[in-house]
Amino acid sequence: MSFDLLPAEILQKIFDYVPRAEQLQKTSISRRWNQLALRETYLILAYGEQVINERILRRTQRGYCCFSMEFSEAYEVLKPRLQICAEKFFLRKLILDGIQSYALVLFAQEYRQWLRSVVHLSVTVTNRVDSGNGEEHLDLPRLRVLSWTCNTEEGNKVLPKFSLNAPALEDVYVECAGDVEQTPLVLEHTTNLKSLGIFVPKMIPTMCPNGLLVLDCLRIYNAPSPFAWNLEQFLLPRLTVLELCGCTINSESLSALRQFPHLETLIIQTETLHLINLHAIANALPKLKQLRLFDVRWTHNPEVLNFPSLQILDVNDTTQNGDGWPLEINAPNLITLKGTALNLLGFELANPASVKCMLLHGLYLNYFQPRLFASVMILHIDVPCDGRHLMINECIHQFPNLTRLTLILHEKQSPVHLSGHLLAISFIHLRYLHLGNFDLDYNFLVGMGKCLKLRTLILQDGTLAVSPDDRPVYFSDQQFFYLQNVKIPAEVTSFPVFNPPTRMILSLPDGNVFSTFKWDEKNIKSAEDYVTFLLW
Amino acid sequence: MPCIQLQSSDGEIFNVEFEIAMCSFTIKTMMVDLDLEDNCEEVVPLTNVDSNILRKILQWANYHKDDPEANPEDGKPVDRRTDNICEWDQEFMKVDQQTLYGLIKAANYLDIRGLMALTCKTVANMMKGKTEEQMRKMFNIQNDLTPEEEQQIRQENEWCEEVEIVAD
Repeated sequence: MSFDLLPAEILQKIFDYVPRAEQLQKTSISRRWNQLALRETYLILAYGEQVINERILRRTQRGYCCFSMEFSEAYEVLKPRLQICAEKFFLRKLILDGIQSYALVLFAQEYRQWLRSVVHLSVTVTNRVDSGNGEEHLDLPRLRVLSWTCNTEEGNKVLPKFSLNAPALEDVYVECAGDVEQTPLVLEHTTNLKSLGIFVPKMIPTMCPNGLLVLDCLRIYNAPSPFAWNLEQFLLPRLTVLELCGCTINSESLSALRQFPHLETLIIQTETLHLINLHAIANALPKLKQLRLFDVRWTHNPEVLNFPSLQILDVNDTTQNGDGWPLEINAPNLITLKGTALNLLGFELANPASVKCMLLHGLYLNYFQPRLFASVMILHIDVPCDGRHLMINECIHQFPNLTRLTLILHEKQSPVHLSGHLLAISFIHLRYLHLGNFDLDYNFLVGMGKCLKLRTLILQDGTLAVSPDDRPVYFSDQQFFYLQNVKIPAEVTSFPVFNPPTRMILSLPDGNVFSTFKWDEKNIKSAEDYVTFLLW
Repeated sequence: MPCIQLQSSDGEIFNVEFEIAMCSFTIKTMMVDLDLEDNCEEVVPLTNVDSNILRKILQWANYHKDDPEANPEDGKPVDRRTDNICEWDQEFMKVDQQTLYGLIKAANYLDIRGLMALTCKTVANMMKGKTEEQMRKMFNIQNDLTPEEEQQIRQENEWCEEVEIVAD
């Protein structure tokens, strides 16, 4: 009985679960293993000035289907390699990076048939050599994902136009660095596009002649006029996600949001000088479920802000302009508050009882009007501190009913302690506690032993001052206790915690890992995966 | 509780609850195609599965009978994690290699998605961190590569790039 005799389809399924980094190593086990399809492995045909040896291509036994080429060499130099690939391999994914526009035209003409099977295509085309304003047509019946980047910064602004017959296309990203005088891409017969990322939105109507009737997600980057097409004629009736990244947002663009009444997620990330009026957003988008603001300056009207459907409010590094502070927001369905704590303090919730989860950068502390968030069950605080002004206790005690608490300290300059007893008394429902970079002691562990509902305790970085004479603490119902990179005095050889069912992993600063799992070598190596699972 | 009779390759007959047998898409299809859904008397022969393996499979299926049904259209692993095997399954998979081999082949033949994923994950976990030589020894694989082929693989691997799936 040899595993080598398993049918190829089964070996392939097993192989799919092997980490990608190890898959290549496993190819040299036997001839059969070498022939297993490396589904997502790209064969690099050219990288910088290095070009793959033709002999390797001719002799390979593997069934590659993904290829990448970075064009430093002229197309003519790389052509023999492409020829071998086209004769020998089925094409599924292709990356052409830095191809000259004239070469892209030639490639499209010469490998038209090979390209028909491509599913993912990524092209970065430059225009240093004038290729004229020709037009090329390609049939790509299986294409689903397309990334097309045009770089005309150094050359002719007129690019050849590619008309793609790609009826299965679902996800497109089009970037133009430098000015382009005509749309470089026309998506013929594409009627099922779900996601579009674009830098020059005025191209949309000519690029998508069949409309975008089922488009779900639109991402617009760096556009001075993000809605520079006739919105009333060219509708996006199913749009639910809109991201405006680096775009100019003014009152005109905000009023254009009314054209997308079914929008559920709006992401604005821009350092624009224009003020974004939150009332304009709320009035235009009654179905909005997620509002994410990054780096923006915002303002509001005097009245209460109504977001009847909002579930997630994510506000990061924003600046509030306006007289009213805080701004009263009526969002009865709000579940998650996320972002910079100082920014979130600018909102006063009319229905704070709906909030279940808060993910904060910085402390959520209002000295003037302290609030109690009895409904919050999940709290994650990521806080830079220098030890002097740390008010972590004052902050977390606004949330008495937590079941999951994560506190991570950054830029710590002096020790920061935390009382385990206080945590045990204050958070009687706590099931998950993750502390990063605290300085804890034996009494902390004693306090944790009194957290009767605690199932998972994770301590990362920082110190834990225990001594060999400490009496072991009994962790009644804990299931996971994980220590990573926590400094423990060298003289401590046995850890003062016991309870056989507790799965304890100690990953010490010296690189040693101890575990009550009785793990052998293979499991210890996958501990990082396990830890990721624990942490998130 | 309606039952169905499954016959292993060595002739043993197992009386199995309909609901448990239906975790196998192969059996499910067979029942529909042969119009056996209302006929409990009929014996369904499983010519590729012996009684030891079938017994194990039924034990697994019985434990997982209330799991959500896997999507029959789903041909590839949804997630590539192998550290999310529940404790019961971990205990279940503590078997010798011959049994493991039999379970994989039978899960594939019977088209039991959950068991297929479990057995593949288990083997993948056994492979993790092993050198080629350790792998050959563990799985009884003959190194049939010539030195020239090994050289070709080494050269070829230098031109390979691992790219995670973005959308497919």
